[in-house]
Amino acid sequence: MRKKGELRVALVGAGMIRFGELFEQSFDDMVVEAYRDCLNSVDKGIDEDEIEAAWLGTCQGSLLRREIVAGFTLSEPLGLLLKPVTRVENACCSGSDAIRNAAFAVAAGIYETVLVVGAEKMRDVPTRASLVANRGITSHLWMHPRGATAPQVFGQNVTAHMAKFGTKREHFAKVAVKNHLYGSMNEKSALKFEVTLEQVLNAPLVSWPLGLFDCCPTTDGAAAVILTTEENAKRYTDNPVFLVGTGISADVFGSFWKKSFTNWPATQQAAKEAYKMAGITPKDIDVAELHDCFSSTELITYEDVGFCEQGKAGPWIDSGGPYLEGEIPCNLSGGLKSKGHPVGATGVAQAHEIFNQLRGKKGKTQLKNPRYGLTHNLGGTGSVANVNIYGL
Amino acid sequence: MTGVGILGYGSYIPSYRIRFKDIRNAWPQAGSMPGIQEKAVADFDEDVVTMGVEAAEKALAMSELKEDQVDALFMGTTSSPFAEKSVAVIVQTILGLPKEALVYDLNSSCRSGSLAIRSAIDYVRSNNESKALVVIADNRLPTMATPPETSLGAAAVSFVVGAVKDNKVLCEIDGWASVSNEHPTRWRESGSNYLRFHEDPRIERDNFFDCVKKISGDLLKQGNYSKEDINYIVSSQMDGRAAGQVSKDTGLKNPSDSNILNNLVTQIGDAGSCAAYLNLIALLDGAQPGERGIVVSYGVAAGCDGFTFKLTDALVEARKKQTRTLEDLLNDKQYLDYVAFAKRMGYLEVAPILPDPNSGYPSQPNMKREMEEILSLKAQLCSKCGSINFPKRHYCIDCRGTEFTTIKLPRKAKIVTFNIQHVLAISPEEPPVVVGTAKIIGATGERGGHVSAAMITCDADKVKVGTEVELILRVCGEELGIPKYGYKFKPCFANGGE
Repeated sequence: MRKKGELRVALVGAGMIRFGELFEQSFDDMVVEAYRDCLNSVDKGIDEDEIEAAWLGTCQGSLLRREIVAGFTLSEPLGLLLKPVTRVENACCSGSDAIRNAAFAVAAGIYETVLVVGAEKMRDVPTRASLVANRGITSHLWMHPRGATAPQVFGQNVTAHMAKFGTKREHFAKVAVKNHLYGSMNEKSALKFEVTLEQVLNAPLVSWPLGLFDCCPTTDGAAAVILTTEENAKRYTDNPVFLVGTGISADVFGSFWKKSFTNWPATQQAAKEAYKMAGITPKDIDVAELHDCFSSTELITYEDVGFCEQGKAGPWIDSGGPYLEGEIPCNLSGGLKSKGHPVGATGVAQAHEIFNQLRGKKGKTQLKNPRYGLTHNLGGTGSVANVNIYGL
Repeated sequence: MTGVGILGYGSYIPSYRIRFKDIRNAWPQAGSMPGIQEKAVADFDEDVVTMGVEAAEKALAMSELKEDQVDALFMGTTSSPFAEKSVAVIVQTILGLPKEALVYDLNSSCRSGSLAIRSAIDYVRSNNESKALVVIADNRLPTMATPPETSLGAAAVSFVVGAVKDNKVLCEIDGWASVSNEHPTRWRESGSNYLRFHEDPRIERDNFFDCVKKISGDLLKQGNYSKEDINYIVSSQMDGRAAGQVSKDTGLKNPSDSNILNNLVTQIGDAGSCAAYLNLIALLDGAQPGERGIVVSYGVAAGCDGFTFKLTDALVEARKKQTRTLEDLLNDKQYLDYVAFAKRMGYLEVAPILPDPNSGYPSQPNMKREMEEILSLKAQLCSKCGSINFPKRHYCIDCRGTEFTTIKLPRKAKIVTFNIQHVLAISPEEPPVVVGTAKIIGATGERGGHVSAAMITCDADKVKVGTEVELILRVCGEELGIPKYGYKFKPCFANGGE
């Protein structure tokens, strides 16, 4: 009998499309391609009729002002008609939160096999209207100034971190260089090229201290995973991966209500919940996919998820901590920075990466026998965070 | 002999009509174009593309040509929705013609229709075996309360053009004549939607009849025809008297005299580029194989083009394929009153629905609700923990207390963190702009007592964590024409900064 607060739900399939500026693909086209890729990844195959329910993670309505995005936004393109489909919108945590809620339904014994899809169409708006240049949709012109863009609300934290801990631009520039290196090895990555430290530091400024290469690209994309019970997983694969811990935490959206500008309390809280549920500590994590919407976000997150002490993120990357050969390799997929960040798809794509990493299928970026993988998302203005922990 | 002819034809007329008397009731002294009882009006959802495609589908169906067998498309219109952008390519895409097809837009005058036909003839002559599609559509908008308001109508025609040696040709094009004539009696200047008109219609009429007479004379001479060889003449018609006058001037027969539909201007108005060809289509529907005719199309302030043609035996079978003839379109009509007509001409404009879906601002009530407290800096002081909450909340941000006293937010603060924005949404502000969060000096709460704002124009490099700022009232933006007042930070560099 499962104890309260324990979680063990199997992932038996994971698929995604190559993220990018997909002008030729509609939202529905992307969802279908990711779904088919996911079905094909199931080792022993799966009959689509066995999918009892589905969750869709997307911010499509808010980002593109498309009206009424709901369960049918998934059931219609997939033709999975009249099944229970729930749409989840929770800023950049939408995809991870969809996985979390789908897993809860399986853990509760309501459904056996369920589908999670995360998808976002972001490049249908011009760059000047994107999150990078425009104020956030929910920001208020009278309270939030016109300049409160995504890089500004996330970047405030690194300015304060620099002032308090002596962190340098070079420290988070290294994150960009690292993620582009690993992204160049990932066939699903939107920006498959390497950058040098000089290129990152000399790039045009977007929101000082963040330059162009500190920002993830605005991309379209979709990803999908299939979850089932531990017992049922054997029908689909001999190598399932399990969601063993999950945490989510909602803080404040307004910059003027924030408790701290040198860390994100929501991430700290979500990580605490997830570690407790998984019964492990940060030391047990072998690989992580962190929310590098900006290079500085990943840097500060090293501290918030407990990979290093508060204020020590700079020295930790200097010592090689988050690299392939380091203590806890981070964003071997290329991260949001290189792979792309279609908001609702991001958390599901991170699960796709960990699924393949724990099953030994990552090729050039494969680690030796990893046991636990962590995914992290931070959304809004750092106001909502999710940490999911996967294990064998 | 051109060796080229028509393989199929089609037309489209919107079903709305406005009666001359309804326009005259609205503008009793505006003058009118004689003999026009009513005219066709495009609805809000009809334009030269939708009308042209309707006509083209009929022409393709009659010619039994598949979309991928069309080698070229020539689109003539004076009323494109774009000053720059091809509508021919839109029509090509909608019809599913090959991407490799040669596609032209012909614009600028009502000769665009005849020039589209001429382009198709030349194309087929120089590319043996090829098939060209001609689409001509017009929806010219008149200036309100001018005579053309009673005459300009909307319609479209289309022809499939191919070589005569293909024995499916139903109308052989024999000879061609053109004359150009600079004559500024109607025009539409750049940036305007509405056609202007020289107040004295005599000038235009004289020019029109001179041109038609010259073209028909040239065509007779060219083909060595006597007047008796030509069974009919059809043309553009600026008003209801034109057809009769053309016949009189040229000595050629008016199809109406043989009970064949002509003088369409009286029913649908002057359809510009396609006007002459609507009358040609009426003739194709009613005349007999072996008969010859002349069609002359007139473009005001541009000139005239005409051609002689001979109807073949193929016409009889071809026209039977039509599911809706021109006559059907003429009879399918509903009448608008003047107000409904004026809306469709764009004379009456409606303000956009609020909130503007592009503004990003949720709603006007939201703006009203927050105006007072934000602008007057009404803050709440928590009675339990003493934290300043701004703007107002139900639960204290620091202790969840629910009792507050209202205070005026102190205006002096110190920067806690900031960024320098080099990329901004399109706005009048010039980057870089400092945007940040500051703590009110003396505020005690952990989360409370913060304000986020942009800084007024200043030397961004001098801003530091700890810089003292003052909240000052500025216009922080504008939306839907409403200035958005709010507070910005004014730095006081003498005080503070780490």
